Amino acid sequence: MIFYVIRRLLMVAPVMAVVTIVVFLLSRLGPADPAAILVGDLGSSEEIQRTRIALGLDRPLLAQYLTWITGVLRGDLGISIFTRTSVASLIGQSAEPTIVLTLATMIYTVIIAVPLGVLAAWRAGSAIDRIFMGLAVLGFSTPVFVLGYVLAYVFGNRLGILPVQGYRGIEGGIGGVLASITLPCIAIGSTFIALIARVTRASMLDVLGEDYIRTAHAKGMRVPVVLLIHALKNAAIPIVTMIGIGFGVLLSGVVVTESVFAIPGIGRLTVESVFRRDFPVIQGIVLAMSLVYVLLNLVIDLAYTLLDPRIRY
Amino acid sequence: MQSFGPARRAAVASVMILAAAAQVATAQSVLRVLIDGNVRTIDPVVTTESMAIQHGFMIYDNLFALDGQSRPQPQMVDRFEISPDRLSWRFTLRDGLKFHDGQAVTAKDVIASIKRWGARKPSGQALMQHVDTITALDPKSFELKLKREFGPVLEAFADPLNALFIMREADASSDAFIPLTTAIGSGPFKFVSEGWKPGDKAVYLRNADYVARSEAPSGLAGARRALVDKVEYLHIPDATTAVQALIAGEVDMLTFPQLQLVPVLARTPNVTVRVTNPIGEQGILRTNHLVPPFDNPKARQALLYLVGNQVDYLAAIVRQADLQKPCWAVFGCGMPLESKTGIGDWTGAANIERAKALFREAGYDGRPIIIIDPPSNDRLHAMSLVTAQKLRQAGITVDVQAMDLGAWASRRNVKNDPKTDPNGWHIFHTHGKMASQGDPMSNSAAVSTCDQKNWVGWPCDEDLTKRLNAYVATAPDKRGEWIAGYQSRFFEVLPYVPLGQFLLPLAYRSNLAGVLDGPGYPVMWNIEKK
Repeated sequence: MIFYVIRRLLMVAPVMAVVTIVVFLLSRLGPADPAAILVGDLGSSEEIQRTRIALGLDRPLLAQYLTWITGVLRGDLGISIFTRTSVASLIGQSAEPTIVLTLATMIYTVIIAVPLGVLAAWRAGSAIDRIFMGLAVLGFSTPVFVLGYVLAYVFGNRLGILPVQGYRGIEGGIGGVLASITLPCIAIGSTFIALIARVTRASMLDVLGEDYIRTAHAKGMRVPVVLLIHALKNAAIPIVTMIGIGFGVLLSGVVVTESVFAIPGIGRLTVESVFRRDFPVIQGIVLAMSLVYVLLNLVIDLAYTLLDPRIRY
Repeated sequence: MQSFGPARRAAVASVMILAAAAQVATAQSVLRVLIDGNVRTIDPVVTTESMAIQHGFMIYDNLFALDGQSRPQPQMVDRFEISPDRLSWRFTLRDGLKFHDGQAVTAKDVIASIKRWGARKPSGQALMQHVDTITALDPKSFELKLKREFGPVLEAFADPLNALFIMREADASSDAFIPLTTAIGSGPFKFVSEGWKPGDKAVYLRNADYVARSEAPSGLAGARRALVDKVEYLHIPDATTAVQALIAGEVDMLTFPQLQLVPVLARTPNVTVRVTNPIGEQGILRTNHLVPPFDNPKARQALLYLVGNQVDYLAAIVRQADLQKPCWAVFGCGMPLESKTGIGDWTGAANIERAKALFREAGYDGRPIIIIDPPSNDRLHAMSLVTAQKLRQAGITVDVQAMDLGAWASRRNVKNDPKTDPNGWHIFHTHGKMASQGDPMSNSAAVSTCDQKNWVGWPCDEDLTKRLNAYVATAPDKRGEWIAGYQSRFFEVLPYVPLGQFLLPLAYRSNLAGVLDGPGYPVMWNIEKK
């Protein structure tokens, strides 16, 4: 196991090397000129050219890449073309809202979705199953921005009990954090609840048909014990995979939700950096998120061994 | 009876102190403002971005500023003298000017700031071409010596869009093409660098040491009194959420709400919707002068007949009739240089047949006309769609290419013919504040030098350039004559097509008092939160 983890960690290096090249080239595809964007709408062509030179954007691509990658190897992701602040600090500023939102959403989603899926599988074909799965389809099909606007209007403007937008940092107290993330969590959670509930149901249906479940029932075990101890544990691998993917998606930024609720997270930072062609920031975010994905995959793979002792690496 | 011992007394005292502190904290007035973008760059010199300029007005002070009637008035300057030959201008700073780090503002700071501004801003560049020397006479006075007469010195210093912000000499001496990383001015608010979260908010605190002028505030001039303790410039990218936040009272002001949402705000109790910039903006249709068919003035003139009375554009941009001001005067209507000279017979309903004929004369060969369009900007998108429709009516093949603002800003710099380069373009649209568009020194779109270093689109006409350059040496009483000649030539060459003027309203909670009218961006001084 240890050797497996070490081997997987060693594989991170070539993956990240490919990522650096791809992200560096992709961000420069097409007519991407941060100097023109920095100078502004009414700047002259001469100003744009002189800005390009001053910022080193006129240098050959290889020279720019080597400068950047040398910094990265020293742990320096560079500085933003626009703010002139470090990319690491910009990512750091945006990380807190995204991490808090991700954790809260996943906890809330799992607490609701897994029992719903288990219940739907246990009562497969019944009215409960149809209602739950109908709600799942509804949750999955409702665009997050529509749900976001409705929630903000009802709970923010009509009832006035939750903020319409914004993120209150942890330094302001847990109450503020919870108030500011409740509506975004519900909005994003609707999709993930639907997804995880459906996967749970399907996986549970497979397991509930197995002989050992029938044996457990025959031994007189109570239904909750059979469902939660015997069935759910064996149905958990697809569910854990789905939760892991959910973590990855949420951590890399939920652009629409962050925009609708004005949450200054990684998603918004990414979009704004792309719109501005702020190359160092785009590169830094993609690099950081690639690392998160690689590590998440490793964690998920290791989790499989806990759920199924037959799996060995 | 229980004794009230020292420990309990200390506890009660602590609670009382905490309560008092909490009261002080809640008594702090915070003005939360949603600006039209976010403060990404804290250097207002390196960019023409409106957010950077608005940030500049928060923390920096100006030598002169335009009043409510667009006349330059002294701001940091106490007095000034002009020599009889108008080639020597001596300025003395007023007392009490201090940077936020405590240093006094000196003539050396002013001179360095003028030089940095002169390297970047059109009005500064125009002035610096005429400057021989700028010398500090003493810590509070400096002399500007001109090589040849330059009439609008004070107008240049007071330009609200290409503003001359006075920085510390150390900051102002830095490269004018690399954004500053410090933001220390001498204005009514101080920038809180720890509170700056690019993409989210910029925070400013009242500068208690700021000595305001004694005159009443008027436009950007007069007393700049910070009446709130803190201002937060916030950014909410989603227009609907921004409006909801204002309605819910989570923010106090929304600069330039999306125009289709203005009626919602107008009927919301406790929200005031008002136009604070009465001269507004000028819509601009810009062609690429380097490529066919718009390298031929006939093709550009055809656009005049398609645009016609401008009403289609203005209605698409602002919808509400009271926000529309059709105007063909190049330097604006209701502006000092308003003129009817040179405006031809195109100002009525669109004349499609005439436009077709002019396109034929220009040798239009049926090639698709590429309009680059950023749909995320509702104003630019509206103008793009109207132009596309009008061109189609004239039998022109049109290709509207939608893209994000970053790609749009980048592609505008491509000079190549779209026939050979897929990134080439023929037409884009934008708009500029009338305070800038109405001033020949700072109207970038009017510059028609033939070096291709001018604003994108690269119009070229030596006669028009000579006329534009002559403005700065034209005495105020001769400007009527100047504009007549200039405007006549303008409509022959047509560096850009003016699409009329429109007004952008500001929306704010009704508990705000003292929101000032002015020719530039909204300013946060003089505003009280009740």
